[in-house]
Amino acid sequence: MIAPFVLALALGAAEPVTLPLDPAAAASVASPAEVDPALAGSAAPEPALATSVAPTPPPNPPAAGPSLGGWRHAFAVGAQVNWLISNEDSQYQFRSASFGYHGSVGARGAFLDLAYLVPLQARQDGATYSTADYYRTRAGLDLLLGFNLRWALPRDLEVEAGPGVHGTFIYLPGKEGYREFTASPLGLGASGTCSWRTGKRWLSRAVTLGGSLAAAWDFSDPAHAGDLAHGWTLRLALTVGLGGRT
Amino acid sequence: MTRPSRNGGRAVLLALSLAACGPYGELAQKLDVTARIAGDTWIAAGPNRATDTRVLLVGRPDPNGVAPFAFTCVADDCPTPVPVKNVPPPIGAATLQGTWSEVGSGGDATLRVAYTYATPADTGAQAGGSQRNDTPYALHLTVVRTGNRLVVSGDPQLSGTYVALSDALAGLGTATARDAACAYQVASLSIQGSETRIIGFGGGGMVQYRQPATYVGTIAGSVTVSMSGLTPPIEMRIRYDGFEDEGGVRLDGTQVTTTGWDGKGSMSSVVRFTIAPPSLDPATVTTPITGGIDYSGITLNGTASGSYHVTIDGGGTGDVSAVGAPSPSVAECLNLP
Repeated sequence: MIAPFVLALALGAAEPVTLPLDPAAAASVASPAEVDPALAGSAAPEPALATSVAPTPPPNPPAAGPSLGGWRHAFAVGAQVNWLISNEDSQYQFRSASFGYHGSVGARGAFLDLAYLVPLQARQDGATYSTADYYRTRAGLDLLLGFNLRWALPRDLEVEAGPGVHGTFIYLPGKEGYREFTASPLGLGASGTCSWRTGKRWLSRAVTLGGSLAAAWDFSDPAHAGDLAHGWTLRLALTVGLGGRT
Repeated sequence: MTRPSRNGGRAVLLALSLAACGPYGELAQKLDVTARIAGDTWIAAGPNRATDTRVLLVGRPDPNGVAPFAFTCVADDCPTPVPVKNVPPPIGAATLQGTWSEVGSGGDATLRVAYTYATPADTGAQAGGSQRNDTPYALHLTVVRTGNRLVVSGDPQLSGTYVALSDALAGLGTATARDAACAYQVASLSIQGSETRIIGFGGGGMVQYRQPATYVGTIAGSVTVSMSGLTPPIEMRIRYDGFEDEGGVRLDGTQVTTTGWDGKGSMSSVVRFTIAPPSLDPATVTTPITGGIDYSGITLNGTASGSYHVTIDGGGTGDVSAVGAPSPSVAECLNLP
């Protein structure tokens, strides 16, 4: 499932970038060097040519901010809720802590939301259980993989949003004498992030703080005999990450 | 979905169950909730004498007249008083557990059912397998004791003319192939009763037994379920240790099912049985009937085929087909009314 994302990342990295004629505008567009530092040598203008055709710089060029292109990486800590309704109308709810990664490439490109879940509380048909009391391991994974758009907003804010395919895996092997529970709902979802450039830099990139919201509608669980009538997933997280190169 | 014969069904259930996880299970569900019962075992034939058998175990009453009970039905269809989630009809085997109390001398009995178990007759990886409903409810019966018989009426599932199992077992022979087949049918009742209480048995939920789990016998002993290997060969082991769900029928040994992901494979190993009718009168105690059920003749290829080889120690041997209705039936073997 991650393969398309990796492919998209590769294509995004190889995508040629057209520099605008306006040098001021050029500062806001990713250069080949930013997309891939290995391209820096070939993308840099020849000195002689630069001497002969370089336009006259404006008297006070604006400061070069991060572009909308290139990679974004962020680590996220938050909470996730999964609702599952079975074919026999049992209603399950899992409340989990989530520790995730959000990565995306390009102003229009692929994104990956991957979260490790620790289910803390579970409900079935009105009864609530602390998972620590019944399950020897509490683990889960949530994956949202899709295509998003990126926008720059005032005040050093940047927003990403887009749809994708979604899957959750919840794994609760029982303590001795208790029954195991697993679920693996699949569906469609969307993810959105809002990040703020702090002004600090690390690895030549802007350090960002922000938040993310992911939601999904799940409608299939083939590994569980199609017992999922429908379900929802909602995740809220705080993020710290690396924005565009500055 | 597979609907195998009663005899062969139990083997194929294990094999097919390894292919998927089955429907969602119950959260925080305890696997074994059986309370031991010391009491009398009664047995009756159901409406279809060829396939329907009912076993009733009633414990000693406490000072308030309340006794524990367990009831097991093995049939082509054993409808349960309350639905059991993920077990659609027809139900191949069902068990009720709870308490039994009688008021007055008119035979009015109230059964407070605490647990209802059911095993679907249709099985396979997509099935839920054996499940339990923990919702309590009450059943009202009329129970009349006449001689060594217990005539139960008032509920279609439990109604019947029961005889003491110890008396019925005393009529079993040991010398012929038919005797061997009858010993198998009697032992198989206990095996099927145990499978009804193994949560997930016959469905995808069996994968949970990567961590072994033990269920106690209602009267004595235990049965332990374990699974090894998530890649073929996948082996499911059901080990009986002095397991006794019916007074006088004890099981020891391991039933091994080995399959690939496609559910194809075979069974192996031997489960030994000891049929020793309990009797309060030492003068009437008979020599136990001992022997074994060899599963190595069973192959699994979407459904079970082959036969169980049954040996009575110092007596007859016989093969019982995994396909078709029990022959001879339990009612025939035990001369049930």
